[in-house]
Parts: sequence; C-alpha cells; structure tokens
Amino acid sequence: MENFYPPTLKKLIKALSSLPGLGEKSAHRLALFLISKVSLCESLGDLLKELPQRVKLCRICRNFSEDDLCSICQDISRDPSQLCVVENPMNLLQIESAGIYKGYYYVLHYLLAPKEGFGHRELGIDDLIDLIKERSVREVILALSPTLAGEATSSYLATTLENYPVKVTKLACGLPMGMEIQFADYITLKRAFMGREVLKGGSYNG
Amino acid sequence: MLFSLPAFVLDKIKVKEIDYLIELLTPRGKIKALAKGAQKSRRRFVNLLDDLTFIRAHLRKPQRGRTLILEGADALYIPESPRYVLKKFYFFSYVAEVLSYTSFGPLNREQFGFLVEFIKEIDRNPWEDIYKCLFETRWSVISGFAPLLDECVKCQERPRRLFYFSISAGGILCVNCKDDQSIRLSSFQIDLLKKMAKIEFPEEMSELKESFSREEGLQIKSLVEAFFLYHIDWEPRSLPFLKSEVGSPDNG
Repeated sequence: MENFYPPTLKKLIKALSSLPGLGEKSAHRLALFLISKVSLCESLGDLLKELPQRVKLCRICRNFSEDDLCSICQDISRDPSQLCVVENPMNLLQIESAGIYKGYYYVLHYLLAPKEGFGHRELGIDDLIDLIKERSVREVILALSPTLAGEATSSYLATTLENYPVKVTKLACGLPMGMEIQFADYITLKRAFMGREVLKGGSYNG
Repeated sequence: MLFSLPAFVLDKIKVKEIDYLIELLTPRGKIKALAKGAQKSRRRFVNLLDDLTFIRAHLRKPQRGRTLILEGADALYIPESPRYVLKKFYFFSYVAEVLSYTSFGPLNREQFGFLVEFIKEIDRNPWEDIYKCLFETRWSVISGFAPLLDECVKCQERPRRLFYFSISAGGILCVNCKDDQSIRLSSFQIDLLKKMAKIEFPEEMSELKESFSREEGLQIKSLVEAFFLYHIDWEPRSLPFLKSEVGSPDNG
C-alpha cells in the first residue's frame, strides 16, 4: 500500500522509523497524523532545523544549553562545594525535579563501555578535574546507576580523584522503596546490609 | 513451551523502548532471547543481565516467531569485583565479547564447568595477568584451534631439541621445516604451553604463576595473544583497553 504514497510521505515515514523506539507502523501513523496538521508541521520543521545549531553543551558542566553556560551553572545561589557527577542530562533532570540537591553538576554523557569502544580515556576526566580545582569543590557525589558499567565508572572516578583534596561519595545502594526482600539478589542485600542506617545508637546491656 | 538452562549473559541490546535482546551462552550453545520489559522492570531482572552474570534462564518458545522469550532469571553467580577493579571490568568485557563472537556449538559439561569456575576464580581472587593468557589458551582448545605442540605441523616429525613456533601454520615446526615467520621457543616454553592447554580446574593456575614471572614466560603471553587473534581473525574492541590496564597497579 505504501507504494502508492507520494515520495515525500514515504521519505517522512522512513525518517521517522529511524528514531529510537519507533517502528515502521508507528512512523506510518505519525506521518498520516501530521498530514492534517499544517501548523504543527511548520513549527516542528523549524524546531528540528534549529536544534543542532542552538542546543549545545554547557561549557562548564556539559549539560544541554542554548547559551555558553546552562541555567544551573548560572545560578549563583547554589552550593559550589558540592559537585554531582551524572551519566546524562536525563538523570540530571530527574535529580533536579526531586528538589533534593542544591549543588552543581557534571555530565559524563558516557559510562565505561569497552565493547562499544569507550574506555577511561574517553570519559573526559580532565575537564572534571579542572572544574573541581576552579570551583574549590569539597565533595564530589557520584550519582551513576548501580549497573556494572555505572559502578565500574564510579570506581574509576574515585580512584582518579584519590590524589585530590575532595571527599568522594556515591549514592546509597540497596533495597528500593516498596520492594519486597524476597525479590532482592544477594549483591543488593549485601549492599543494603553494608549501608544500613542507625535508627537508635547505644550499647546492649542485657 | 517453558524450559530452563544455566547461562552466562554475553550481551544485551536495547530493543525499542522497554525490551532487551539478550545473548546467552548455555551448554547448548549461544542463544538469543528477548527480555520483555527488561529496560523498565525493577523486579524481574534487576542486575542479572550484566556481562558474565551466571543465571538460570527461564525461557519460553513463542507460538509465533523464532526468538525465545526470557521469562525470568535466577542468579547463580553475580561477579562483584569487576564493579571495583577496572582491569577485571575490561577483562570481563573482553571475555564476553570473545565468547559472543566465537561460540558456535554446544559445550560439554567439562567445558562449561571450566568457564563457570574460571569466572568465579577471577572474581574471588586478586587480578593476575596470567588470567588473560590462560583464557586465550583454554578457549582456543575448547574452540578447536589450539596449537599443535607434539609434532611438527608440516612433516609430523617430533622435534627433540630445537622448537620453532609458527602462528600461521598453527603449531611447532622442526628445524627443517621452519620458515622466516617462525619463532624459536625453548623446551621450557613448549612445556608451559602444554600445561596451560591441559588445565582443567582454575586452581591449577597457581602452579604456573611462577613460570610466567620469567622472561620466557612473558614471551609466551604475547605469543598466545598473537596466536589467538590470528586464528579468531578479529580484534575485540575491549582488548586495547584491557592491554592498557594490564601491568598497571590495581585500581580497587
């Protein structure tokens, strides 16, 4: 049936189906929807054209930004002694929207992935070290996912920062809220036990 | 139809927004299975789909299509040290990549058992550079392209005093058959190669550690790597990272 479509529509379906998460059927549906929305097509077209020119990486933290510095790096009310290292801007947004952290960020964009050709030299650690020195950071918080790659990257960063006068912490790891203990594997349980919180101090007197 | 198999996770590829296509090494050989919802599920797989995690995979044959469905997985062994030691992280990536690229047939109980014990041994003990050499030797034996070490590859004569090793010929050459590319090896080095090829239990590795501290042992490491890469005819992407770390102090 697609063979009867005009070439532009066919090209649009092909382009849309190359997007992550979209199959040919979904691309087909979107393309047919867009045909009837002239103004949406125009604004989408303009935005897509502008996107690569206007959105770039913040000079300091490598978050997405339209200016030289992103809005977080421009915010002088934040605590400069804390620097949170995240994998990507999506994770940054998640932490920001939780409203629990008021320091600055550094976005890695990659985790160690030797099979994809990303080793420790590709992480761009020199920029991170420069930032730590410039901002007189006292604590680096490693907020990387506790996957194999995330933990290996955290360990590498912690080792690299060993010789710098900063405290290096990473997010606690263990049982997620709402999870039942019976579903936890032994590494998660081990971490949960290692990182248990004290509800009441003191010694047992019998 | 539901069935379960012990398996090593070799790779996972994101499929659409929520699924993963998982590559598994099982005693029946390498298989691919779709883990539906694994990108988002917090309960079903959690950290069981990382490289070289040893699981019991619960698989289902779909009514339509040929790709198996990974319905669930139980942890049999989760390597922990690659999370803290960069060399081990790179090595596990290297092993997973090689197994993914070079496994074609089923493995017998001893071969699969060796892999299980080998992964556990490396995870539980401090890193030793010999691990890489041993893996390459053992995997070339399991895969059927181990070097011939008892007789000359070309004339089948048994060399007595002078041994020449040819990577392209696939084993040793006698003094009459040697060519420009062959490398002279001592009888100590030939013995070392033979011992490595015969190792069945990873604990036996400790007996060879001392041999590798000698100059002749070091030469064997690079020879084994060159032989291995020549015969798999491909260079794993993780190898340069592993090589850049091997020989440097541990990071964790």
